Amino acid sequence: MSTQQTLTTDRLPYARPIARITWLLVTCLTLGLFFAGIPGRYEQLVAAADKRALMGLGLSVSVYAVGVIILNFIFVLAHHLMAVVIFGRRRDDWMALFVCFALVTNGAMIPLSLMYPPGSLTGLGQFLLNGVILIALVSGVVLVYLFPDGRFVPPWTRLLAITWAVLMAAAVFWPTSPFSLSSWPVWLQLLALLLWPGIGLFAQIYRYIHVSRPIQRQQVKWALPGLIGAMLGPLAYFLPFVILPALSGPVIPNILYQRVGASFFTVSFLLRLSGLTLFTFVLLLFPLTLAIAIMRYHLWDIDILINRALVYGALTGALGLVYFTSVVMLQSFLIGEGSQLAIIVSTLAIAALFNPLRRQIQTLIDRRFYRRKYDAAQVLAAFSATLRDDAYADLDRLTEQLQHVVEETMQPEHVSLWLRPPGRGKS
Amino acid sequence: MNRVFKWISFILGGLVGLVALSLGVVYSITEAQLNKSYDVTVNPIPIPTDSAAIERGKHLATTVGFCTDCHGENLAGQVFDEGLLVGRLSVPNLTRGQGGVGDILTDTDWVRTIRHGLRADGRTLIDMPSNYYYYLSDADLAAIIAYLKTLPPVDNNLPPTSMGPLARLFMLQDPSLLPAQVIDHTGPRPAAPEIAITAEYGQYLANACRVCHGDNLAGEPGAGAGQNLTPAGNLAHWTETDFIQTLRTGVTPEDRKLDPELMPWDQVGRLSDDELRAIWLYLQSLPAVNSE
Repeated sequence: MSTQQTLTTDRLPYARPIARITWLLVTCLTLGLFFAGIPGRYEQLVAAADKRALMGLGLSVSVYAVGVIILNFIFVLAHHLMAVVIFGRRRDDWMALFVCFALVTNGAMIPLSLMYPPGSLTGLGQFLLNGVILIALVSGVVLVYLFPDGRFVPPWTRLLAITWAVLMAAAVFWPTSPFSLSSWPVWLQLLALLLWPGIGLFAQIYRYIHVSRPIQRQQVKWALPGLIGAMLGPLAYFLPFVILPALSGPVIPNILYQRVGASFFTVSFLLRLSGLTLFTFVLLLFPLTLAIAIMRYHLWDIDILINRALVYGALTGALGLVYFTSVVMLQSFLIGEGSQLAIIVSTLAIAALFNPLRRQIQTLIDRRFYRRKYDAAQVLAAFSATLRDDAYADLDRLTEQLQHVVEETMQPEHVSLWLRPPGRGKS
Repeated sequence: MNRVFKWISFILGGLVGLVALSLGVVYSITEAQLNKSYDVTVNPIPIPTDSAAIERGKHLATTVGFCTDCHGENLAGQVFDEGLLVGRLSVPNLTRGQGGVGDILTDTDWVRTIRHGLRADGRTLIDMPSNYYYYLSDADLAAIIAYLKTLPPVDNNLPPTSMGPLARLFMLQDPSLLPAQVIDHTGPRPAAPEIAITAEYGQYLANACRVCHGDNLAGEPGAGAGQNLTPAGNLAHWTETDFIQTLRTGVTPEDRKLDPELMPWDQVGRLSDDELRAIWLYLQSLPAVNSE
């Protein structure tokens, strides 16, 4: 089913094309800034890396830096892919378009704010970056007031959304002004950053109980964890230390390091790294749960496209992981000339794995998200094979096999089969 | 299926309860350690004001005292934030500026802090290497205090130190992180060696080297730890000149560059030739310990 369109554009015939063009420009801008910022981010990570902890873990600084950048890339890619898919199919729907903006900008906000710390850009560059960050901060929270049909429910949340937008604009463009969240005491910032999303959460519960239709309830059920993930964006942007431990700070002097113990700081480093990874995955819930809402409950009716995107996205990720792991492992065994061999072997392995892995992922996704279609096909196939092969078998065996197939594919609480006794019902 | 979920819930609930209980126990024990008041009689020492003593104090504080390592180049303190699980170590501002302790501590408080690892109220400091400074002679300690009292004021308000669960666990594992716990506050004071090119004076100067190179200076395992400095280590192939040259330039005779983040050669290299010779003599006098 598609969402209701609550905004009419009859009076503004150019509004929709302008919004679409703006989205395309914002997408190009975020991607451009992201790719342009990679070398700087690499240097930044190398300089700030805890060499001693990495040494203790047997990792090189470059592997660590590349790993963090790959994590950022996955994050940006997932958001952008989902946005492109929705935009491709539902760009006429204002709510879908709003989600596209939220996805693209929220996907880029945290990586870009790390890549471009204050003062690293000037003039137009800084203005454009601020624009992207503003859209992310506003859309991440307002989305919770609007999802899934684009109406403010309850209606007074519209006022909250406007206030939030003003606060965010002040914080991003005039950070020292009294209206700017950044100039408030930390406790007040924290309160605001929890209050607005918290009311959004309340709005979703209110909507769920009083307004939503059954299918919308199912959509919201799936999308809500992702919306909460999106709401964490502003918290991570304004108060990173609440969520992420020490993103920057002085290098711990070796005398302190050795006194406390290398293992202590290695554990601390691991915690920081896993915290960063976990946080990235929490924020990834936004595009992922939207994808599930789309696929399982036909949000915006674009599930087939999402199916393909998910299959090939997962396939790319899995093959990338296999390639990276095999190259690293083989290179550690094969020294010197072996490094070329490791790359050749890994590439061949990827080529060999492509089709079987694609089939496996397709089956897995069909099984998880297209249960009805998958089960029907499986049940019919298995049962027809049984009928064909055991055409003359006894009824008990056929009954047992039917029950087994139904249990395997549908996973019901229990299965019972009613058979009409022979002779009954005959006239 | 429901039964499985019920069991999983029981097990998870039990584990969470167990972790919460353990954290509670660790918190209680470490709080008791942190709040324990040590009744130590501090022998006051006269703090000189002459420029020679202040210069000597500066020399020690910025070389083998390693004060600037943790308190920062201007000794105005810094914060090492390792996150909520680990904790935040606020190393105090030693100047007389806003947020500094320079105007608060009396001469006796300075001695109590540096020599005994205790706050003015008798509670232990966290991670102050007083167990190494305990060996400083009265004259040298007084010179360091004299220097600290002349520091230009720097305004730097620092947040309080907070100990996360992981830091508290490590505190239990390593008592020296609370220095007052490992110092014999009432024992006889170690004799101060005469300033001369002797192994005894070298030993006195090289006391803090043990933090990274180990108690027997034979090196420590672990990332960034110091090398074996006994005659069984690489120094067996060096001459006294090589040793001094390495600490002055940061480049070893094997043409290896020392990373100042790991080995503060730039600080130790500020010692005079005589002081470095004394340390060399001491290192040569150590028993060879094969740490491999």
